[in-house]
Amino acid sequence: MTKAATTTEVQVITGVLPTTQRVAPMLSLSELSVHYGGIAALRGISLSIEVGEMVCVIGANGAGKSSLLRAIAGLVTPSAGHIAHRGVPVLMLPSFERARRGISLVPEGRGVFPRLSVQENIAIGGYARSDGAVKDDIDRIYALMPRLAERRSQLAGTLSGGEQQMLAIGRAMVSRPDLLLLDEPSMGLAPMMVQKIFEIIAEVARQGVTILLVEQNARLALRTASRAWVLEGGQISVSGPSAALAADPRVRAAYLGE
Amino acid sequence: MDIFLQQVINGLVLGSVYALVALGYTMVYGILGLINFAHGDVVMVGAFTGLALLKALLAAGTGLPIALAGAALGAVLACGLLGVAIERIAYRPLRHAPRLAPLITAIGVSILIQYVAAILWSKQYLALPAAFTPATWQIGGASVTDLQVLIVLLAGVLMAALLWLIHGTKLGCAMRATEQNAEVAGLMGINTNRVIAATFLIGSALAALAGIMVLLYYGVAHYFMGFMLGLKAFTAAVLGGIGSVPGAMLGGLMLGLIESLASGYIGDFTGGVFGSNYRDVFAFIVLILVLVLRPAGLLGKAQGERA
Ligand SMILES: Nc1ncnc2c1ncn2[C@@H]1O[C@H](COP(=O)(O)OP(=O)(O)O)[C@@H](O)[C@H]1O
Ligand SMILES: [Mg+2]
Repeated sequence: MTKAATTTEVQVITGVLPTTQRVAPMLSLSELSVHYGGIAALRGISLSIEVGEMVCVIGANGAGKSSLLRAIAGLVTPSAGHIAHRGVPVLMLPSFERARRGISLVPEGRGVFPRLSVQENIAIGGYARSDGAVKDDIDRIYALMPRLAERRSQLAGTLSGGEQQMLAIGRAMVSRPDLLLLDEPSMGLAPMMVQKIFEIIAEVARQGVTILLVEQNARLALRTASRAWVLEGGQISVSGPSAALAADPRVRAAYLGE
Repeated sequence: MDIFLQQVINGLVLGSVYALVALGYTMVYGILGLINFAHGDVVMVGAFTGLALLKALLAAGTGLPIALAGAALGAVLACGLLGVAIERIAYRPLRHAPRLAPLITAIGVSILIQYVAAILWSKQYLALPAAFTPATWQIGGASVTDLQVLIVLLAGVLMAALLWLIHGTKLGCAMRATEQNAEVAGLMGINTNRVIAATFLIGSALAALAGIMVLLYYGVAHYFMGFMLGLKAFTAAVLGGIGSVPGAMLGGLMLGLIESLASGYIGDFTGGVFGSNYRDVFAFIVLILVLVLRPAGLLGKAQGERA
């Protein structure tokens, strides 16, 4: 009997589940609220993201997009609600432990370390890893982003905005995340560079990483993601498949300028 | 006797000690934006624990080199623990408080350590056992002792090791990342609290060794000795550019040289009105000049950086 119980546990831990059993979502939020002093930035957000999905949240400036991602990554403490990552509650974990679990946030404004070299910035993504494959992963990032390879000994603070965005995404990838949170990766970039960044994001998604993208650029976000939520004043106003949202007259009027 | 050469030698010794202590100020400032005013008192604790261990080991019949090494090790452990405890108890709870709160706390911690030391070791000057009579050599009209050579060499090795730690190890990279953006460092899976504790540990270990150097050089320990030494090392850190590790090294050496040379010549310049007992004044003249003329210090990072 003891033996049988142990076997089931092992199955759960290694993810080898009987086909009838449902796999836990990559991320599920229930009734998540964030307050800054008396100001509500998020009011009761509930959503669920399945393994391998690429989804987005769109919304105007101040809608609460960054607060949402920061709450998931552990940078702000929610005033109410729950966050589960692959079925495990993570609300009590500090940000560094969530990162070690596989939740990786590429923050708004990139957050590269300006006085570390490009190489050091990328390598630090593998800080918490102890397997021997970090170097191979770094080489793969350089192959995907040759501009960074050329500048590997330069200080990150001397890179252009687009290069810093690449660096921030590459650095996150070296941690081998299973959930990648991207906060407005297109912000402040020229159209050519935006396209380049979104090609990289599409490549990351192809590799099987679950992605939650947050954007003000709704057109681009809806084109890239399969499902979307619209955030307004800290609440979800519309949600559904991206194609349906792109066709929704309210969304078209408010976010696609039509 | 060649006064110039002699004062350069004295200045290098003094400067080595200032540099080791200045490193503790600058590393903590870099990572927390906090002036740890208790740091000078950690040096004092290093001197007293070193003295106690030295007496005990020598009384037990241990040879001088082993006794010195044992005293240094013990002082490093005691001060390392003390530094980590100060951060954990006094500064971490105030990490997000307005800046004045940790500053006042730092002064409180400093006074607390001084009075605990006065209770433990009395308010008297405690002297080294008589076993210490450094060998003296004559070089070009100046004299240099084996202790002076040892202090300068050991400080040099420690500083080289620190630079290697900061630029050549994973912990060093995490320290620099935490200094530049602690929030993002956390997103990289770095336990920033542990990195900050390591910073206090390293700074305090250097302070312990500086304390033993001062003890051996001047032959005494006193519960208030960390105050002036701390202020001067802080001045050295500001001179080099607070937050800059090479700056603390440079600032320490420069301050030691300035102080030695100025006090060596002040009698000549003022026709004997002021003597070398005015030496402490020079550090603070330097501090005022730096703050007025170049607040970022010699190697400070004042210029705007792209983030
Ligand atoms: N640190 C903060 N302190 C106080 N208010 C904040 C803070 N961060 C965000 N807010 C407020 O919370 C709301 C949501 O902000 P944010 O999550 O940054 O939105 P978005 O990323 O969609 O622009 C805004 O009204 C903003 O002013
Ligand atoms: Mg935002």
